[in-house]
Amino acid sequence: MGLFQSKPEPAKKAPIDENSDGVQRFFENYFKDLRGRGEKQFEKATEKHSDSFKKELDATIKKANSQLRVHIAKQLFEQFEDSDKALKTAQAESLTALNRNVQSLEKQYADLGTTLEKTVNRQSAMFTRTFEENMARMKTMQEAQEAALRSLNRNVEALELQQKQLSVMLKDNVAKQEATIIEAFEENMAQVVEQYLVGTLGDHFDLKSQLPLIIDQMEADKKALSDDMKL
Amino acid sequence: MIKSAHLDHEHFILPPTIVSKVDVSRLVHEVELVDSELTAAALRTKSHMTPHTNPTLSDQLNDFLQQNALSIGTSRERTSLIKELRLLKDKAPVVHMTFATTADRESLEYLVGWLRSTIHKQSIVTVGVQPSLIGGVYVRTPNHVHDFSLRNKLKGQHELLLKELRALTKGKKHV
Repeated sequence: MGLFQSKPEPAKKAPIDENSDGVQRFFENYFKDLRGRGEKQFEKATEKHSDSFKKELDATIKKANSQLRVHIAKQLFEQFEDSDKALKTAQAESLTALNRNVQSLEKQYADLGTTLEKTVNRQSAMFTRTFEENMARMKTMQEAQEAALRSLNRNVEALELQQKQLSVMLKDNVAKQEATIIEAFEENMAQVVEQYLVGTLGDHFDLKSQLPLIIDQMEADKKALSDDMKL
Repeated sequence: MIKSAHLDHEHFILPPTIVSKVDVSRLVHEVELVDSELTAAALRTKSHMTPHTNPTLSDQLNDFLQQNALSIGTSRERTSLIKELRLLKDKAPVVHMTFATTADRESLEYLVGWLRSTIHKQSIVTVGVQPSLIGGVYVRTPNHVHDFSLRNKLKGQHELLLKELRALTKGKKHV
């Protein structure tokens, strides 16, 4: 488009070798005049072409706008379609994943339920068994307690009986012991008197005072003594 | 000193001061000492070293020599005496007497005197103490024992004492 291009400058003429003022002024005026005319003509041409140019520009803009609108619409439509497709695909994938998760969850739920049920059953069985065992133990203990109680009662009765018998025996024994002690005391009294005599006389009898008695006794046994010495 | 012609332990007269076997042993020992002393003195006299002096004798030995009219002037006499005294020590009849209290010398001499005058003229005694006897004496001769103690007397009278006590307690009960 050469509408806004400046015209090519006319080829510069080679300088005149003749440096005279008159000639130069002539050409300057001439060129001035030409430039003035040229400007006028250019203005005229510009005015003449600016309208058409404006019209063409408007048309062109309108056309460009419509084309751009179409293009954009088309682009947008395509993008919308792509997005829609991607969205659908994503939705489908999400749905599939969700379905898979749901199935997995359902399966897990089912497994969990089964496990829980089994555990509950096992616990229940264990509790039942333990309860039965405890019941059996309690019963055994109760029986043992009853047996012990019966035994204790029997022992108490036996002890009471023994106590009565012992009481009777003790009374008899006490009476016997009393009699024995009295008897022993009477017998030991002689020894007590002897001991008393030993304690009392033992320290006060000197040999000199005993000599007459000793001599008398030995005199009485003189013959036996004499015989012993001769043997 | 009186010279004796014949020595025999069986005819020895023991003075009252010689009471026990220990006394006889002491007598033998003393005569042995005198003998060795006199022998030494005789040797010294022969060699004119020191003048002769008679040894001092104990009362027991003096009594014994006097009562038996013995002399220990010569070595032979002393040797014979020692020999006979040893025999006496071994053969004299021993009477063991146990008393309730410690026996004093005087009482022992009295008892030995009685034994020698009544039982055997060469009796010697050994003495023991046993307080449980209470009183009296427990005599042990070579073959027998004779219990003259008060304890034995009481033991013999035990039944009598018991009888008396029973009678006494019964009398108290009746009262």
